[in-house]
Amino acid sequence: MKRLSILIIQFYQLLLLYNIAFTLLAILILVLETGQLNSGVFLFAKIIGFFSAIGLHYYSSKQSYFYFRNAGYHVITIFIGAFAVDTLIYILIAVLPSPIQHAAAYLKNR
Amino acid sequence: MQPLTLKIDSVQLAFNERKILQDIYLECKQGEVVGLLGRNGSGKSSLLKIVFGTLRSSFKHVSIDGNFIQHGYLQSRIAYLPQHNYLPRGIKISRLANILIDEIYWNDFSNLSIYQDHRHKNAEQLSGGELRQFEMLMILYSKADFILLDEPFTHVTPVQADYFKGVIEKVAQTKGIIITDHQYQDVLDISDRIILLKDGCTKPIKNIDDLITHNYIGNFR
Repeated sequence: MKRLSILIIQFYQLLLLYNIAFTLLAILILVLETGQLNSGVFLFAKIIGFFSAIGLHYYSSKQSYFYFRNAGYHVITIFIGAFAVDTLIYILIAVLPSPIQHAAAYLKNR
Repeated sequence: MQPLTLKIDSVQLAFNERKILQDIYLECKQGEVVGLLGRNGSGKSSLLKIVFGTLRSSFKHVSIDGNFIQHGYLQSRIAYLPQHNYLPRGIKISRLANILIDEIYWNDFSNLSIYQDHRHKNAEQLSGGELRQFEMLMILYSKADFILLDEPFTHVTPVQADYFKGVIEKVAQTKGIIITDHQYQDVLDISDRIILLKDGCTKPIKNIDDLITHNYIGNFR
């Protein structure tokens, strides 16, 4: 399990720049199209960004997938793991500011 | 422990109705090096990819000790050195090696001067020869019971080829190895058995005269 976790993190690291770029692009397009900026738009952009990044990486670096296979894993397993990491990071980014804001407000009102 | 046997039987592959592989039988035991020779386009790489599980064939029966396997790479049963570079860029060699190298070979691998000199580098910071050496060694020293080597001697210097042959012979004591390369003399040097792939069929080769008979090499004697 530790080995799989390391492989997923390594893959996520390879994907990171593509992922950020596509997610920001998706946010921009969605905001321009809908005129709204909320958590729904962010989540949708995140999903579009992630799968676009996977698509581009698969197209441009397909040969490096032999590394993950030689480690004994199906690339689908790595994709699912990376998606789980991405979703977890999104949730942390979306949820964490709220308790921090509450704590700041509490400290300010004391 | 009894050595495991990899059996490859009845593989069928066609591209646009052109039959590439049709009558295939290949066996490899742990402790054995099997050389697979064949002309360009004879289907050697395709056969190795089918065994590894990354190329779909219309039919195949690949088994290890009688247990059918669909994807040879799952659970590190089979490792495959492709013709092209496969190590991902942007990750340090030491981190890649930690994943692929079997614990029992770790000391052998980590004491190599090439590893000591370049472990902190990424794949893209290495020369072509250094990268190929790492890719080859990571496959040979991997956890897999069986190793498929697709043209390991191509684009390497004669000195490197001799070094690789030594490592292959060493790891072949515990692993089964199937090797294919156009440097047929190198393949003959290290193989216990030779199989020729011709017209989509596997043909066992007993001696060098068989290779001449099958027009794989010319008769220059």
